[in-house]
Amino acid sequence: MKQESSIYHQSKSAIELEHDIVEKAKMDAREFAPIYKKYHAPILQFVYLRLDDKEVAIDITQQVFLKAIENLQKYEFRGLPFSSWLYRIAMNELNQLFRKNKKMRTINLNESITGDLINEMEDEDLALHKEKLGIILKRLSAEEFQLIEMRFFEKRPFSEIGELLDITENNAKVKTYRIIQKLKELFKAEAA
Amino acid sequence: MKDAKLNKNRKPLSDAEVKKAENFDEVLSKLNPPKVTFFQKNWPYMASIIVLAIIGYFVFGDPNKTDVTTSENKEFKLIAPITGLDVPNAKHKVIAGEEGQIVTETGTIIKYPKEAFLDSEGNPVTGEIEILFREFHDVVEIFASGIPMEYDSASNKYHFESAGMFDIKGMQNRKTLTINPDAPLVVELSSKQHGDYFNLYKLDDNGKWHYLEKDTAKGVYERQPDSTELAQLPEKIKGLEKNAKQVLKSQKKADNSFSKMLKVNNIYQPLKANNDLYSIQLESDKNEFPELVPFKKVLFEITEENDNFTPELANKDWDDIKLKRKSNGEYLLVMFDNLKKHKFIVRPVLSASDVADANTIFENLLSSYDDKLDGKLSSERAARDSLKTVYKSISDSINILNNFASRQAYEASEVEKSTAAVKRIFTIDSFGIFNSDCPQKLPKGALFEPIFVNGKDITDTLSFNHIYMAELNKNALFSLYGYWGKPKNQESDGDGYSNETEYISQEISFNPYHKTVIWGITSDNRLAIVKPNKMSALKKGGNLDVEMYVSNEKIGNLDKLRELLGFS
Repeated sequence: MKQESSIYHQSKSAIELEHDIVEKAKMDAREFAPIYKKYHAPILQFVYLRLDDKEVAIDITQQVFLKAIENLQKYEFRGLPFSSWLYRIAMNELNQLFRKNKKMRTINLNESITGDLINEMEDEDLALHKEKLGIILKRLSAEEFQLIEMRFFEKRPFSEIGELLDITENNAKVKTYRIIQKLKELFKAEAA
Repeated sequence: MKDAKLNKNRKPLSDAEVKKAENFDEVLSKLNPPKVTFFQKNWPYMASIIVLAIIGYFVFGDPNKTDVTTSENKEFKLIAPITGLDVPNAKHKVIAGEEGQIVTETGTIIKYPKEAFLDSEGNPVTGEIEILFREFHDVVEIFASGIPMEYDSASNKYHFESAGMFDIKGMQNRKTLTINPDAPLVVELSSKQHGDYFNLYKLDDNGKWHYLEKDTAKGVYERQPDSTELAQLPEKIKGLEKNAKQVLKSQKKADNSFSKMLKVNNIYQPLKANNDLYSIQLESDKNEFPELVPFKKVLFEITEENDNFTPELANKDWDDIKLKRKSNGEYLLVMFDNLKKHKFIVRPVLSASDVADANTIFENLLSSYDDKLDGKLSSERAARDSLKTVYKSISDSINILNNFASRQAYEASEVEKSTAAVKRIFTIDSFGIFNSDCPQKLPKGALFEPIFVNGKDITDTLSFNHIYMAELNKNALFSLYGYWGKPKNQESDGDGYSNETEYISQEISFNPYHKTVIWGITSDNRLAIVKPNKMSALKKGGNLDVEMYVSNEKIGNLDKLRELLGFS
């Protein structure tokens, strides 16, 4: 699978520069502007991918940055890009929303993702039934789909997925592999 | 995800749409104004409130109580969950104005410099003062104290794994003292946890923990692996074994495919003779076995599966011996003795001294056939060999992880046996509650939705709004808030609960690989417990009636509580 360049992979100096900005922003929230500018678009797209309402996605994104600034004192620098923390806040906000309204959750599928997922299943016959992928994905649990979404929809490296979901990189790999096997079985059952 | 909406080929937001949504000023405008600004603008008003608060504190407050109230009037009180049971303060009398140290029963050292203590007006205190100090080293002490162990990091809820916690206060003539920021105290807290992955925190007046600094511990042992890391080992090993099985299957498939290709092209791959098996030298028919023609001194080894072969047969004079090929491609040796036939499966092999030459011949043959077959032979072989390497690497990893798990289990038991050898160093310039902690997520692995019932009378449904959970191998207290049990308004009519009870429950997750204990305090102040041996039945998950052991005994001391919860 082709991996897209990720904001997760940044040079040490870029990460340290971010850290300096965050430290200044702890004293004065206005100093946070460069971080907002850098991450507003990826966080908004991250939120919108999981929703089908632009206005709600925009509101949640603003809420993510608001919470980040409000809680900057609690942020602990661990040598990772600040985005990891923002994504975690975004996931929390989204989970709160989905707990109230499960129908807000959206699976945004396209040809390229379908192709990648079918390829990963290593069974050419399944390609004949690719139109059923959406229905099959709906049978996954929210936790399972989240992994598939991060890996195949957003092309995130396993190291970043592990960091965002608070599991090890290896665990992210094993879990994803198992979900792919599950999808394969669901596909076969559907095709039979 | 069954309720999720499915979109196909929806475009992400355009750059213009994203740009339009960008509004940092809006975020800033929603921020709460910093408290300091309010204070600066209203300082005369605030100063009066503070003066009144201080007067109120000394007039009405009991300085021996560890009560804390929030500045927002949301009263935060440290309440011990079991009435009448708490971790008591030890009182140490020291002379303020002189340098000295206190050594507690656990070996904790509190060092205080000259002029370390100030009165409420900021003046140095002299003469005898009292230091009230209590330490919390295990889950039972932490639970009994009622100290919150949750840490909120931007809405991400964590639970603390503690390497030790303490509560310190200074008093003189029933008046609370403060610490001189220019002469801080150093507390070397004894700790039974040997990891170097803890941070230091202080509990604020609102009951929230604040990060102070990275823990610098004295006498820290080699880093112990995170217990989460250990918990994941069985899953890791299981995953690897599954991978190994699949790789082995693919490797066998590739091996068969390569052998088939060799056979089709009449190429025999030399094998070294097994010294433990008998072999026989025969002139094979060149037409029937052309694959063996290029090789000299080929022996036929009687394979392990020939149960009918005995060493005596090897020394016998046979009337005739024939080599045949079975339909599945195996070589069959038929020996005749007085018209009696003995059949043995054999494989062509070469003695150790001949195998090197044979391999050179094989490589040459392979190379010449490979050219004709567009490299298919070598690519098949490379695929097979690469799978072999992968299989070996996975097998090695499994062995390493198994060894690692055994070693850690051994080391964990040794560490448990050892006495406290680590000191967690805190430099403090204020009194209060301090903790050396590592934030943890709730344990995961199994999920169940319980209705808690009394094990002695299963018709007695227990209700809780706070459930505690701990793993016996980890010094972390997990607090689960919510509601489990009968609906609070069940007794009243007209709410839909009068005829049939719909119990309320929430999911609880736990790690099935760890010994876990769950407990709660009933409304009549009894301790109700799900002991570790009952937890394994909850692995299956779903909605479950969970029987709790409800203790009717008065829990008068911490050792009794330890015994009941299984920590003794």
